Amino acid sequence: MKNIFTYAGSATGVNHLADGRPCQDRSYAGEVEYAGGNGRAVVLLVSDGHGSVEHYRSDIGAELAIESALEALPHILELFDSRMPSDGVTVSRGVAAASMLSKADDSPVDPLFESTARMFFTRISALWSGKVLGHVADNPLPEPSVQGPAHPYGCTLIGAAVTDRYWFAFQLGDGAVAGVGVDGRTLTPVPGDSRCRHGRTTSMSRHGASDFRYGYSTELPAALMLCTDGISDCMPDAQALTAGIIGPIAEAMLADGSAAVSREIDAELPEMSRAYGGDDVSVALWMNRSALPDVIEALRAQNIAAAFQGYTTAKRELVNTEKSIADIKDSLTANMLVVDDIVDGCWASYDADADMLRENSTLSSLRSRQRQLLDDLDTILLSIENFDRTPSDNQSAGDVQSDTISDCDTILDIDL
Amino acid sequence: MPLNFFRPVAATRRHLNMFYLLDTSGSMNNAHCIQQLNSAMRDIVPILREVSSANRDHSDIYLSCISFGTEAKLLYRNPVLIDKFEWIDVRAEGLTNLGAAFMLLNEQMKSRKTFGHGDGNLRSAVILMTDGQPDSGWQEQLTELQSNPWFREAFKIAITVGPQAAHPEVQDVMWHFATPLDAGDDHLVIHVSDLARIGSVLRFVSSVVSRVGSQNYGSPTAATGQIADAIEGEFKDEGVVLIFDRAGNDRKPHY
Repeated sequence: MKNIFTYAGSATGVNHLADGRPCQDRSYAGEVEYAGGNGRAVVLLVSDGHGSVEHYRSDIGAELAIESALEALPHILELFDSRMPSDGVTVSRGVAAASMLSKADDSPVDPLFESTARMFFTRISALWSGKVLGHVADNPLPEPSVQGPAHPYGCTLIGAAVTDRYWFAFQLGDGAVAGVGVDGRTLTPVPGDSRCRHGRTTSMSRHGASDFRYGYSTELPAALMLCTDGISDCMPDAQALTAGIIGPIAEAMLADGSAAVSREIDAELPEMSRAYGGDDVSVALWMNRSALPDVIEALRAQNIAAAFQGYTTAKRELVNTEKSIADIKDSLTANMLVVDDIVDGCWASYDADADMLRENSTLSSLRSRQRQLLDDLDTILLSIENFDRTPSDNQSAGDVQSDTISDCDTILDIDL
Repeated sequence: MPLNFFRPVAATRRHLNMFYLLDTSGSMNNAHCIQQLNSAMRDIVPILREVSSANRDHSDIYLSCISFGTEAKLLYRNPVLIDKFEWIDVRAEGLTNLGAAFMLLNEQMKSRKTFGHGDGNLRSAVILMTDGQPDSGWQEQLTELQSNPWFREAFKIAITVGPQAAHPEVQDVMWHFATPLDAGDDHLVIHVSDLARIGSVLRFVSSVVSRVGSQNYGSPTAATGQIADAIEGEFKDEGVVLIFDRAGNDRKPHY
């Protein structure tokens, strides 16, 4: 494949820097050779070592996960290559156990691909376990782990391989795989897993082949991105993820060229960690430069849509918060009238005073949240202002912003 | 051109919601239990503030408190950010309407005021402290509560205090309440027979749960296990009985 841009990078989270933890993310982008097709595939990988204290070797676990995937990939690509139909096919499969509530488990099942994919995941898991045990043998754990020797090495693994005929993505644990189709559509090839949310994730140290999710397609995308939860958890959905990150990179690449963009992403990743919650951040990217000019307008439109959504969400919460503040103020006023009528020193007086003090505490918390939301709204508006939007018709960027916010408020009027 | 990633949503810190269900029935007046509870709740505020400011994953801690005597009461109408939280003493009187407390908790766990739009919330923690036999009706409300997805994945810790609460029937209630559901393998039930230890147990449990809850764990079992290990390690002496169901062991409390 020609005119392809790839990138992989990780940055240590600002929280990790603050408390002396290493970067526990790993990322990779490169070519893998295999027997079949034209014999080469671009491979993207990211792995996120769990951040808690008991996973104290998770950075090594992440490194070993990347190694394991690279070792296992050539064989699976060879098998996929011989079995992939030539006509258009797109499949998205969740975890093997139906009880695990993966959203896309009802997608078409090709038993041959399913068994091949599960075999691949079994191979990755086995390789990873072997490498971990080897590392433990050379570097004994300071004390035995009741949850097994691999527990300190716990990590996630997300990968993708793109050949000239098809692409294949897989995931165990949190993080995200997202892409942009050649028509500008957002692609979410790997279905979700209800076990990966609210600070929880499936793990290489605890889960196996049946817990991987995957997707493949013979329709090559314009761009594909893998990222760890340091980024994906801070985006509302895949569309915001692709438009907000792939979009600006695509524009910068067309303007500056690949080498400059790689440096720019390197510089931006620590900023993302600072802005997005302090965790390690990793991105791996595959982009077809030839297809980008056709999708940039769609990505811009999605950015505006994401801004609508972000603004609406924050505004709605602000309205609710301000309503709660008003309710408490009313309650406090009413309570003061009641307290005046209660004889001092009785329990009723004590209870009324206690309720007022609690209301004041709640009020203070709500005001803090109100200030935070107002700051959030300012940030969103600033993002819109900074978004280098070239008006596609005779409308100015200022008009677009004004329309956007006006539309948001209209939506709010309807929904509230 | 400078690369400027478009950030449609301003970054916000994650939320750890901690819910306290506190028995304020008349029997809590015995042996100054209610005073100890009030004192402990005051003491945990600076502890949780420290956890919130120092935690690794930038999590804000929000507190919700429900007292239950003859009726249950939401002490603070919205969850309160720990930095703004001020504990106001409660007093003890009346019966032990645990069912009403479960119902209020369920309502609060369904409210948008509690979890906003759901993104960025960590698993919640629910800490229940009681000294006696609950009134009838708790089972239906607990069954209802256990269908709430936020409750299902929350850390659930029951702390019972005093001789009445050692009764098998009370322990059965706590056992049901502390069923992990989607939160791992361990039933976290603690019985405090030495009433002078109520405050220290509540403080320690709050501290451990907030520290574990604000981290990113590979599995709920690991997180709950971490809490169990910490509590076991802290309270080895007499006066505090720990009842855990560690992975693979089918243990139920027997008194």
